[in-house]
Amino acid sequence: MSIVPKQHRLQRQLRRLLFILALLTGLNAFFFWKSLDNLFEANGKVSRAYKLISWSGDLDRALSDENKIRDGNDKHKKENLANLRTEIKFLFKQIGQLASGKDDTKFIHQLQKQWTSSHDDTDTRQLLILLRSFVKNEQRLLEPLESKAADASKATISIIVVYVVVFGFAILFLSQYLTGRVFQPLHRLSDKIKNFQAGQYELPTRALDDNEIGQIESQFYYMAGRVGETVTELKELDRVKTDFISIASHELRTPMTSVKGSLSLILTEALSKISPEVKEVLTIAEKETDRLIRLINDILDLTKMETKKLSLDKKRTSIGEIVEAAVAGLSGLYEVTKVTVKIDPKSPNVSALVDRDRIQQVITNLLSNAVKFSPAGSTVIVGYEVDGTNAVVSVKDKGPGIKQEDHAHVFDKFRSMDAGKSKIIRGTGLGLPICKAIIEQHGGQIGLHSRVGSGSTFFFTLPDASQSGKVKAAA
Amino acid sequence: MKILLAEDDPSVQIVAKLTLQKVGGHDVTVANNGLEAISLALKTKFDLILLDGMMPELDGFNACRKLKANSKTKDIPVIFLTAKNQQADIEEGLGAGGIGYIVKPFDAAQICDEIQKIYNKHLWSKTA
Ligand SMILES: Nc1ncnc2c1ncn2[C@@H]1O[C@H](COP(=O)(O)OP(=O)(O)OP(=O)(O)O)[C@@H](O)[C@H]1O
Ligand SMILES: [Mg+2]
Repeated sequence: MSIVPKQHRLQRQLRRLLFILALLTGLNAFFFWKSLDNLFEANGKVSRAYKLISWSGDLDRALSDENKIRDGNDKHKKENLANLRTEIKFLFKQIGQLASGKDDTKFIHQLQKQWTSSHDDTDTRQLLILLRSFVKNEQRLLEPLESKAADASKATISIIVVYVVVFGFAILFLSQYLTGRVFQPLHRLSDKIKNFQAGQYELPTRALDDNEIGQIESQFYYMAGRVGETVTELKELDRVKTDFISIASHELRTPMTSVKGSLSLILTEALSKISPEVKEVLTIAEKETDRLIRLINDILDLTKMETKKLSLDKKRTSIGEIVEAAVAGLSGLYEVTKVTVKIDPKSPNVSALVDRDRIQQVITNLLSNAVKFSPAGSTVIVGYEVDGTNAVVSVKDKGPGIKQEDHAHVFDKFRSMDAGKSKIIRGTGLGLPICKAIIEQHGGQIGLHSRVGSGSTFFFTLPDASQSGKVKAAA
Repeated sequence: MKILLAEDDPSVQIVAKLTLQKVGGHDVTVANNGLEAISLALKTKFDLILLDGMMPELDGFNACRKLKANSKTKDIPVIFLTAKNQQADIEEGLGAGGIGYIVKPFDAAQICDEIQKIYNKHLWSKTA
């Protein structure tokens, strides 16, 4: 779809320009050819005239030789005369061939005939005089012929000069045209596209030129406008989402405050003594209220993490310290479940660049799952070590394990697979998705090894780990 | 002790007031927003002020800043009792001059102890 009408202006202009150039070249070639023709013709005539003159000189000489032989008394007189006549005959023939025009040729031919049949000296002399006048005439013609040849060569040169100048100007114009109409607009457009990529969404709506490049420009502006609108919408959506998170956080927590506050206040019996049945029922209400509060907190946490609104407060922190804090934080749970927790520092003094509270939240989540699902009397092992540049933390339990086909889903939201099995803490099904979001935001990975019947090991990695113990040991 | 509680939600007002009175045995006055809290604090002498975060007219953080800027009220310890639970909120509250930060919802069995602990720690740090 295009909002800009198709444009062929540049193509038309360029085509017109090239047509004019071709026409100019053609015209030039024509004139050049013509002038060359003239030049060759004139040159031909001149050289013919020169030859004629030289032939007629030879003829003159031959005739005078004949007279001498005829007058002399050589014993080979007859033979010499015959030779000379052959020579003269040949010369006549040559002159005849050079003669221009039908009349001239006829004239020479006649002379030749007369000469061949004559034996008289006077006849010969007469012929000679006629031939001389013919040559003279030819010589007279020579002069204008020479100037004509000179003119023709001058014309040829000037045609070449004119062509070079015109062609030079045409090339100059063409390059100016291409620069001004094609390359500069393209550079301008490319700059605008670069700025757009850098996030400058405010662009004109109309192109400068109404040619093909202008068309591309307009289409780009149109597209950029749409992208800009989408970006603005997304930003607005993001803002709404952020607003929602903070409003929901407050608006959900305020009524929960009254409910939780009221229930807990009644349960303190500070207002009045309550019967055991009332107490039991209210305890359930309080516990479920707590769960609801946890759910609200978790949902909001997860939403924040998914919109990248959760800013991490990353500092280099000892992983061991975080593990110990998380294990200590759940101590109340171990008594209820009769599960023992052991810390296994496979590599000591591991530290990583982390948000301490968030990583503790992850370990607490994994540990509470492990303890929740462990049989009474069993041990959960929390280990940590360095693997390459990563810190790895693992939580191993001897619980029921997780079916292979569920491995891919345990990190999905609201995927409490066997929530019913554990009555101690009823989960919200958001623990693992939150862990995943936190770890991924740290640039790490989370996963599990588990088989039904042989327990589960959940682990996660954190990049940028270092081991200060090693350095100390070496020193 | 004599406690001023600034809280805009009527239900929370009742529950919190009752809890502080019945469980903690405190004398509680309630203000509906930050402005009211300041004017009450200027009139009567309180041992402790509990401020909600989000309130109409004047929010808890700004009310705390005003209280700390006034020589008559600057020595009354302020504890925030708010639903705002972000790290940034906690930092803002303590930065505004609060001596403690309690996130709602609260447990009636624990909140009075918690308040007392923060208050004692504050007194101890002042005398030390
Ligand atoms: N160590 C474990 N052993 C066996 N199953 C587990 C283990 N950890 C998690 N699961 C399974 O994965 C599900 C999802 O765990 P998740 O922590 O996300 O939710 P939850 O524990 O049900 O609730 P919450 O952690 O929010 O209180 C659990 O309900 C359980 O079925
Ligand atoms: Mg869990």
